Amino acid sequence: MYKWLKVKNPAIVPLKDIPVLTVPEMLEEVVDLIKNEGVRPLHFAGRKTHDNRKVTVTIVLADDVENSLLLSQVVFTADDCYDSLTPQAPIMHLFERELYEQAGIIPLGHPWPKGVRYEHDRVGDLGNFNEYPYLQSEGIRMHEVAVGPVHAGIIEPGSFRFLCYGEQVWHLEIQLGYQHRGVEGLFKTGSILNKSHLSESIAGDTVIGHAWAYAILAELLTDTEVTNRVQAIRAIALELERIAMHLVGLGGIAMDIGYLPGASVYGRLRTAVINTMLKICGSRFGRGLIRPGGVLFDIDTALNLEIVDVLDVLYRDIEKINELFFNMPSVLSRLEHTGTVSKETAKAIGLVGIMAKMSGLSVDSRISHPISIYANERLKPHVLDGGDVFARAKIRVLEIDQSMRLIRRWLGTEVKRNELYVKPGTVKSNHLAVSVVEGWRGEISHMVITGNQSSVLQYKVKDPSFNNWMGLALAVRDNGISDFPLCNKSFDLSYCGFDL
Amino acid sequence: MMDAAVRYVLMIVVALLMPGLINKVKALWGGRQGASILQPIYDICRLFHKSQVISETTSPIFRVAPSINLVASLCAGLVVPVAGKESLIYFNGDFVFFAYILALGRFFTVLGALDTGSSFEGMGASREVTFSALIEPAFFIIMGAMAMLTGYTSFSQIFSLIPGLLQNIKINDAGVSIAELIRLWAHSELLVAAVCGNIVFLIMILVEASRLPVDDPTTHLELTMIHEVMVLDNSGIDLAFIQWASALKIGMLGTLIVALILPAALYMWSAVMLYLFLMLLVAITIGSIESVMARLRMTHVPQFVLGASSIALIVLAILLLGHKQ
Amino acid sequence: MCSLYVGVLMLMIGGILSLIFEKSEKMAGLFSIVFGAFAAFFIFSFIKIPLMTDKTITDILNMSMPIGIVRIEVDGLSAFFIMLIIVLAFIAMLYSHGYFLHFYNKGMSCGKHFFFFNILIVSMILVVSVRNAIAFLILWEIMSISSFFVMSFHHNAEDMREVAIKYIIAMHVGAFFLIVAFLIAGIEGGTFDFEGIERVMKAGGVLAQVVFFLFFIGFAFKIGLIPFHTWLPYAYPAAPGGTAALMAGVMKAVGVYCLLRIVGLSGRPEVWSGYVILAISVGSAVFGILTAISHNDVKKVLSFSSVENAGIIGIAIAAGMLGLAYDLPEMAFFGFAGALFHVLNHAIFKGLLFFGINSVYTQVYTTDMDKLGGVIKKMPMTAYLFLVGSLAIVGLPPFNGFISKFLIYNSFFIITSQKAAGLLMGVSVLTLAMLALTGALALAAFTKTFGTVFLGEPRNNKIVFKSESNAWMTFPMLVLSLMCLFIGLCPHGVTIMLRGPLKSMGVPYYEHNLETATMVSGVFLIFIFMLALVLFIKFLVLKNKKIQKAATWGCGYGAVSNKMQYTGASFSEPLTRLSKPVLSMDNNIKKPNGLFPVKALSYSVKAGDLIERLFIDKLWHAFRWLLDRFSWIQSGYTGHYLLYILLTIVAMAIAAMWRLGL
Repeated sequence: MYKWLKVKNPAIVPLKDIPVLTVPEMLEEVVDLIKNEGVRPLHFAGRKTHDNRKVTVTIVLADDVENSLLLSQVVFTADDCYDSLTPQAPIMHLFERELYEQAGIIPLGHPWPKGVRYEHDRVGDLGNFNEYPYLQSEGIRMHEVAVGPVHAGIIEPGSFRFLCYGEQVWHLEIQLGYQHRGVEGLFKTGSILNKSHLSESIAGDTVIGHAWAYAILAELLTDTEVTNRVQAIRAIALELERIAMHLVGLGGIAMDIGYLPGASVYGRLRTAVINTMLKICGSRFGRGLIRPGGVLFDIDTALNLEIVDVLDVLYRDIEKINELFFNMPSVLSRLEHTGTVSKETAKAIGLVGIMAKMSGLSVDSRISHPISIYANERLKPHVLDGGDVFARAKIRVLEIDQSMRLIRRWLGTEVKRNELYVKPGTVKSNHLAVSVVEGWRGEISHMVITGNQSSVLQYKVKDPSFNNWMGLALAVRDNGISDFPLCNKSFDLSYCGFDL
Repeated sequence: MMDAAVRYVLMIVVALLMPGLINKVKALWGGRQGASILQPIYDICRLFHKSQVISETTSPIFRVAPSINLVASLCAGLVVPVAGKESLIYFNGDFVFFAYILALGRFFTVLGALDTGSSFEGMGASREVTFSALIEPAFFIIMGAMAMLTGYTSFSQIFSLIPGLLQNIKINDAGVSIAELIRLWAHSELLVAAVCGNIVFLIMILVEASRLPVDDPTTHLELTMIHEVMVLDNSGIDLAFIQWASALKIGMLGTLIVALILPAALYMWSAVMLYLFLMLLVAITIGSIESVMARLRMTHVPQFVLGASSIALIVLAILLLGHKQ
Repeated sequence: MCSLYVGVLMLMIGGILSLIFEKSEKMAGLFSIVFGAFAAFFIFSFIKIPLMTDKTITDILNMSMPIGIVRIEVDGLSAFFIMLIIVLAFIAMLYSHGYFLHFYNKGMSCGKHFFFFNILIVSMILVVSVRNAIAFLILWEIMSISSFFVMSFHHNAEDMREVAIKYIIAMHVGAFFLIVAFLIAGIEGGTFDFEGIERVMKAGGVLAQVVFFLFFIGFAFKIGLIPFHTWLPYAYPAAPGGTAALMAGVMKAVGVYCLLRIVGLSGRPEVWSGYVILAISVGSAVFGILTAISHNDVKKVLSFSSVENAGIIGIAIAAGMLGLAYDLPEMAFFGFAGALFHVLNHAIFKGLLFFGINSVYTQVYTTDMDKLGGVIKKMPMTAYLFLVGSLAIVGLPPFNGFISKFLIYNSFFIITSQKAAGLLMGVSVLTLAMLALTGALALAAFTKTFGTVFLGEPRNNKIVFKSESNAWMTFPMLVLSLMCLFIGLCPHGVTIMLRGPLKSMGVPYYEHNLETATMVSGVFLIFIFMLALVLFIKFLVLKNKKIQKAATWGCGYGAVSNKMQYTGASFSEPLTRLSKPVLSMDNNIKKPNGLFPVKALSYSVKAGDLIERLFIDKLWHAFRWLLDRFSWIQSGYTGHYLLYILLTIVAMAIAAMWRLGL
């Protein structure tokens, strides 16, 4: 069964080594594999061949049980169609829609043939951005609430359509794409090696995650080895980012239920953490730290001690506020049983990251596809049942704790003072590279395919929000509409990470 | 008459200061400096200078509604006794008038919201009429019980008598000093009834002025708002009127809370000082409640509001049991 | 008395002429109106005396058996109601003429309608004047039947027959109670004149209580108290044009008159009967308004609101009775004064509201509020006058509804200044709370109705308004609105008319107590003055500023549709969810299953009447089940029927022989 090339994360393979399946084979294989425990799609990306007559679709599946990535390809003729996988494997729903929009391959029988981002140079055209076909409502007693794209607070633009009767929400549908910037297209211009700024800007709150995923690809393509010191610094930065953004999430949840002490305290704690990042690399969000070939800043002994101090204070203070927050009846009555996502639903649509962990699925690529220093840790995933807002808040607390321990361990180990940065060399041609990094929301995956003369044929970015937005839409159904903002904040998904 | 007019103006001024005070208290609880206490007044003045944007869906009712709301609140204030003495206008049953003129303001605010044809504002309007319907019986039970106790049916007359009645002391026209007042209250068996009455009025403020835990006035989420979202499309001087009316409601209901504690016959200056001090206490209480409680789930708010009715029924029961016939 | 007879005669002539000229339909209406105007003139000049002074005018008619001697007596109480009837009937006539202008050449008979309309008015005027049980019952029956015909104008509509049959059955069940009560009173009291009733009631004892409650139930059908109201939400929406106002306001008034007359004849009532009526009335008020909130058809909302107002009137009457029972004359005064005032007010503003929605109906043939929207732009006059009616019915200042509600509130807290029994005090406070609750719920119901129908954007693009209604329809509405405002600002005009009625009931009239009402209207004037001042200031401030027009804030969304507007049903959803135990609502949701639904999600909700569903429908089914057991008797074979006749003859023969001792 040489249908799939099995590799470990992160991987680089020559294009010619990737098996090519026929369309019926691919359909059967993907459905079969996905039925297994722990297999999820990472990429399902199509690119036109030079003569524009064919479309090559690269498929990357992640196998959490075997800790490997499965690669394969299919070749369609342009504007071809195939029987949609979604009815049998709902997890493919958005991937198929995206494939249609970017490459024009039609999934027949897809229940929701709607546009994804309405990209400027889309191949599969489904009409005007303003004509997105929301689910209709019948019955004069119901009303629709259209929220967005401009929101009352300063949050990113997205359009939400609720079908309601009074306070009860029967259905929610979300349309994004307002911040589409053409990121994947920009990656293809010029050299692949100077795209750090671009990758840091994919989602402003996941700088380290995306930057690291990109840097790995660049290093694989140029055969650059990075030292353990670099790995440690990168990992520390990733975990700091995780802590900071989880604190934002907790503060946001507290703010949205009107619990002002929570909002203030979590906010203050987060400021301390991002100020630490500022001390490390000069940017509170971690921009300018990671480059292909290494990192640009070091953590010397003095800074080491400072970080440990900050973590100590954080540990002490967060105990107190968690004690208050998670035991207040008025808080609990808001958080519990609100916006529940069941385990079956989470599995069916393929939620990742903390959204998966909060509904009982153990999906963490630090454990299943560990990179660098994570491979040495024996991380245990925190998994909660419940799937409600309370679980989403609690999982953040647990992860903060876990990240703090990891950082302490890495700071504590004596690592040789090695090279921090090695300038990368030439880029390999006709290769495919893929990397998976566990960002604070969930798994981030970048994939690059190079052509002749180190040109970039395709660059694919998958932010965890790509998987998780559907989860929010499903979580709000049958809830009260006044609980929607709380659900939204508890998910805290990235609009621009989805829009690219 | 002049005296009552001056007190009426005093109440309006204090009412305009209340939102600023409450926000200051919330800021201090959150470890911040907070905005100046006069900030809401500055905001109202600023809005007077602005022009307006009117939605094309609306009718003249939208334009007139904020003015009616403001005048209704001002008229309601005419019957509220300030700092212990009678209000400008008082007659038998003026508390009924108080409730109904505020309802007139509410009627037009709701119509103004529905006039815009926006589902947000409809949502806020729907919540507003539901919660205010649930708080009305509590108010009337309290006032009815107080009327039963004192034998009078006007705010001014009821509130001037209560502390004295509780102790069955005749308060002569010369007046009572603050020290004697404290002694009066300390010996009163019916303290529970008065405290419960104040709790009901406090809950009324939380509902009418949309404070936590009923509504979060600082929220930016339209889907959760009650009052804020009803006025989403108002601008300029209309918005100034609305903010003013909202401040007035806090001020008037706070004055009622204070009136329950303050007897009529205090010497003039001590009455005014005590009034200001007690209003400050009310603001601190509201600010503190807002700072330590989270907002209730929307479906739990009716239970909270009906809880006020239960407390009012306790007051009625206490007074009925004590009533000998 | 002559003037009264002339007035009645004018009405009848008008009716007959309308019938004769029914082919030329415009003439039918005009004849009715002209003669109605004459009648009004004569009747007004007649009732001035009994209403304003303490005199009563009596006349005795000698009619043949079985009616016997009929005493027609118009005292203060009768005069008050005659005035109410004729004023509102005339205004309704004007409106009906305008209404029917839309239905000419459509196969409906306006001439017949006006004929029965006038008969109805005549019967109502006479019902409140006669003092003879048999004449009363005959006139009551004429009232029921003529209103039945008047209601069935749109007789071709399918559900019309069901409505009409429900109505006629309800009326006759009520009449049954009345017949029994009159019979007992007549036989025990010795005469079928009302004096007989007086004798029985004043004698006291169990018999008086039974008779009183039989009368109460019979009249409760007409007034609309629960659980006797179930015909109301069918009949009122069906009534066309001005008739709805007549039925909702005036017939209810006739029912109240009858109840007050019985109370007046009863002397001092028992305490517990006051409490029973109070309980039924409070239940009617709360149930009525909650059910009103759950409905989405404007006419049904108005019908259930009539149930609520019947409850309020009942509360006032109960207050009066309790005042008499406990010997608290001030409470009795405020109670009965409030009841009379509220009956008048209710007729005015309910009429106004029904006129408004019927005007909308003539344009678009629907009264479902979720199909309408933004009507104020197409029918501004109707909208503003409907607004006045809404403000009045919720009881908001500065209109008349507040004054009558204020009097009723007064009746419950006036007892605080007098030392009354603990039970009465407690019940009074609770009643105050219930009155406040119904007022606040009425606010919810009428903001929903007015806001959904008249404000916002149209919800259904297929519904097109042609124009504002004609002057025949808007003028009566204007008159009623002005009445609402004037009575609110100057209640003295009505309160002086209460002296006569209260005297004839034996309730003392306290001039000084009514001063609070005058004070309240003084405050109203202050309100209006301050409002004018504030609007003037606003005008000055905005004078040199540009006002920009824009769309309603839609969050910057590109394709706002008219579905993104709150519906009336959604508006009342929180309240209906809370009051689910007392409502009957059928929800029907078709939610497409699955993660990726494609079929449109459809939801419909239909509101009903819980009391009807629980009691009437079940009773009806049980009754039919019982009768079905005997359906075998109707076999259809002539032979069987001959056998029945034979059996009957044989049985009669046996019975006769046995009687004769054989």
